[in-house]
Amino acid sequence: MGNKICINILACIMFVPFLANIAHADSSENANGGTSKPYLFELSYYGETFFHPGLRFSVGRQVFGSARHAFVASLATAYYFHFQNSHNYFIDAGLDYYWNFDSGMFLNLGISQGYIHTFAAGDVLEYRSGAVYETFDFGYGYYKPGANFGFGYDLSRLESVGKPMRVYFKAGAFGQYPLNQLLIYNIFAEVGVSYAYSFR
Amino acid sequence: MPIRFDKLHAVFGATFNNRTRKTILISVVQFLFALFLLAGCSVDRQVDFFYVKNAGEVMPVDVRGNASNGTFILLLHGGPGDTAQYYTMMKPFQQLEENYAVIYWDQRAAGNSYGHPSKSSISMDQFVEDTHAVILAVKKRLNVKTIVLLGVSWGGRLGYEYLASSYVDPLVKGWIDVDGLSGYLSTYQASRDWVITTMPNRINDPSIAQSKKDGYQNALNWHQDRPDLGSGGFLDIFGRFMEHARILRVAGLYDYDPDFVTAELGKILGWKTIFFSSIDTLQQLLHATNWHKIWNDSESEVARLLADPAFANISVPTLIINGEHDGAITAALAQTKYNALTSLTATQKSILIYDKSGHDPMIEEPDRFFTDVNGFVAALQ
Repeated sequence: MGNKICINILACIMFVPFLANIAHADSSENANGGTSKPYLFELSYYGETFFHPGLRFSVGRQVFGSARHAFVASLATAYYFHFQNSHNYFIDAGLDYYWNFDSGMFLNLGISQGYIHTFAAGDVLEYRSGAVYETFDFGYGYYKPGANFGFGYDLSRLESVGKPMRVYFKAGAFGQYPLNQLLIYNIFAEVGVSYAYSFR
Repeated sequence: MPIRFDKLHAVFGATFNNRTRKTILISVVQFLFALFLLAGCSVDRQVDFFYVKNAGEVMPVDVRGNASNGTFILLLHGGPGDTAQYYTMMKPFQQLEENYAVIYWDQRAAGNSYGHPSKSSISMDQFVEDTHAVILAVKKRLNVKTIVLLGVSWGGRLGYEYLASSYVDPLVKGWIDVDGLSGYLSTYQASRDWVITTMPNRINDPSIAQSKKDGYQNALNWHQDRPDLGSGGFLDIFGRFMEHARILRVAGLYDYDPDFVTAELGKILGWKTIFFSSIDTLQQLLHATNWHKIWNDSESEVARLLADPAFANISVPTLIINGEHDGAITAALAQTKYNALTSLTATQKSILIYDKSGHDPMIEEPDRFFTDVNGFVAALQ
């Protein structure tokens, strides 16, 4: 019961940035005559326990803060594979704080929550009524809270790049609940690039 | 030491020249390529790999070794909450795989098993049905002629429960109990008797270091005050059992040579296992330390776990292996189990007490363990 209440509270807290994001985008358009802050697209290698490989894609937008201290809300989706363990897909919503340095380097702290679906990494035989049958595995879904830290570099500082791109590294932990009635922890690392794009 | 924030700019202010950037980029691409190759790698000696789904749980089954003669050893791992995968890295099991196929199955709420099992389905009856389901699944996929069950610690209890049930498969021709649990109450009481009988001699032995004696004294004091597992709910009773096991472990009373066992387990649980194996070590650890919190906590289940299995119903040839120095599953308990196998004649049952082993004879006396298990299985064919 306690866990459910915590999850509901977390869910409410985490979705506030997205409401704020929409509001911010609208007000920004009104104030600037149609201009708004760019969307940040991220594509990364996603390694659960660092070396169980996957890919992650996210879209984010700064919701408050300044150029030096920025808060970015994002939506992400990812897949990773753990050999003879599981296939996993997840979507999550995150809020990241970025501390941007004059040199182009930046530090990052973030929290997220979402949904992760886990599938078997092989054939599945189901036991029913005293016999076993080959079956399609629909997998199991879990609530996924997470937290991360990281750092990166703004490549737009490099003349040879000249694009609004960043490279970054993130590491953190996320949970799966209720996996066998427990909150199971996992650690991960990410190496990726982000691109800032304005639709106007 | 305070963080000098003004230095951070200096640290992160470094820029790279073109050559360095290219080198870093190539290294990153090579690293990612290697990881994806690794993700698709195969396993040595693997015969088959699949999952068995039952009552809300999906459980991996890894079959390795030599399946040509149709003899399969089904490993029932310990715990509850351990994993069968650790045994794939132990020498005697790798030796057994040369002659037979070994089935490494992660039980429900253990190892890499996952799902949404209800609390009521994490029960002894469900574990027994799962064992039946795994045997049916292996028979469906592979050419099985003989199955031998091998249960370690908690797996010993599960083996007895399965063999005393109505599920017993006709291809199950033998049973090996390795330091196997009996009823939780009789297991605890045998262990307590052993602690109270043997600890005073150790405490008075001048050749034993004081640091070890402190652990022995703590174990003695704790057990003297607790003649049984007490009363209360599931969590109270089995929480007490877990505390008893922890005190024995801390005092080094599980093994003949605890330092050696720790070193050997350290090799198994090294960085290769954590980062590059199929084992989810964090998940396994959480399963093993929380099993008593997620188990079916009904009164009938408490009574079921505390009571001894129906040893008299066991009808397959049985080999009991037990470490003489196992403080948790004592040699005296092993003898009691042997005596309780009343349906078996003297030629159908045997007991071997290893004098240089505790709870992990497959680690402390691997060659002897392989020889005995191999000989027992060979005689069944």
